[in-house]
Amino acid sequence: MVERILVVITTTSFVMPNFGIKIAKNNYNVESDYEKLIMFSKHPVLKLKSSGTDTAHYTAGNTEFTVTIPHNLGYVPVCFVYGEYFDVDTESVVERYSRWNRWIYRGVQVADLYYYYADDTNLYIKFEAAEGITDAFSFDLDYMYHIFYDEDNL
Amino acid sequence: MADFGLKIAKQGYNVLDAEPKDLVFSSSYPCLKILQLGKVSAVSSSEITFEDIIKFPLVILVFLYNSATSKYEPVEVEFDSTKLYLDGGENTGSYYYYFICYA
Repeated sequence: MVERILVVITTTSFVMPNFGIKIAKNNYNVESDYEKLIMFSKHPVLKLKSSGTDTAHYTAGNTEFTVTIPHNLGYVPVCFVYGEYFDVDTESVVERYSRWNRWIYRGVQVADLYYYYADDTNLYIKFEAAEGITDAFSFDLDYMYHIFYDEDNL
Repeated sequence: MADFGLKIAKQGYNVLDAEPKDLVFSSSYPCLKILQLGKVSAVSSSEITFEDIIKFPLVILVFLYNSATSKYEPVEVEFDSTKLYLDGGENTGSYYYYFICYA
């Protein structure tokens, strides 16, 4: 429930105006501290360009896979990726999600790598299997992603 | 049907021709919203049940306040469609701050 919305727009060019939109949380005044606000036009919000869920398939012996999701923004956007991971000990996919940014060691200098990054045109979701260990299995990994319009490489 | 909504541009940009990245807000684009947030002890493990049913995709952000260093750091955690799982095992006086978000 919104307690109060304050909209102040000044048109004077003689004094630098203090203007914008504030929306306070219930029981708070718009003059409250930042964390009591729902929105404050002084501070940009993350604006969603696209999001989704899907499944990536890893085939034994392929060493790696890459999921490429185009955004074509012309700059590197803020992205988040979360997904499942494969557990060698149980030889099964763990049906829990974590940020697609993990290194699971399978021995000395051997690891499963889950990572993602973006460039000016695409989001890349990558998996590299530990050679001779995880690499011996085939499995499906569910993942989810968000791509925002906001720049990540300021 | 008219093109309507609310746009707020960043300082130095015009709402009429600004790119989405140069807007503070636009009702044309969903923004990241906090479904649930909280603070729990990081000494022992805990499970945070989502208070609302929400479909994937989500954005989950968790930070650890480490009492030994008096600093905050992002931590990787696991979740499924109903719960967030926090490992614990940190020093006495350490806390997790979690944000369950959607857009």
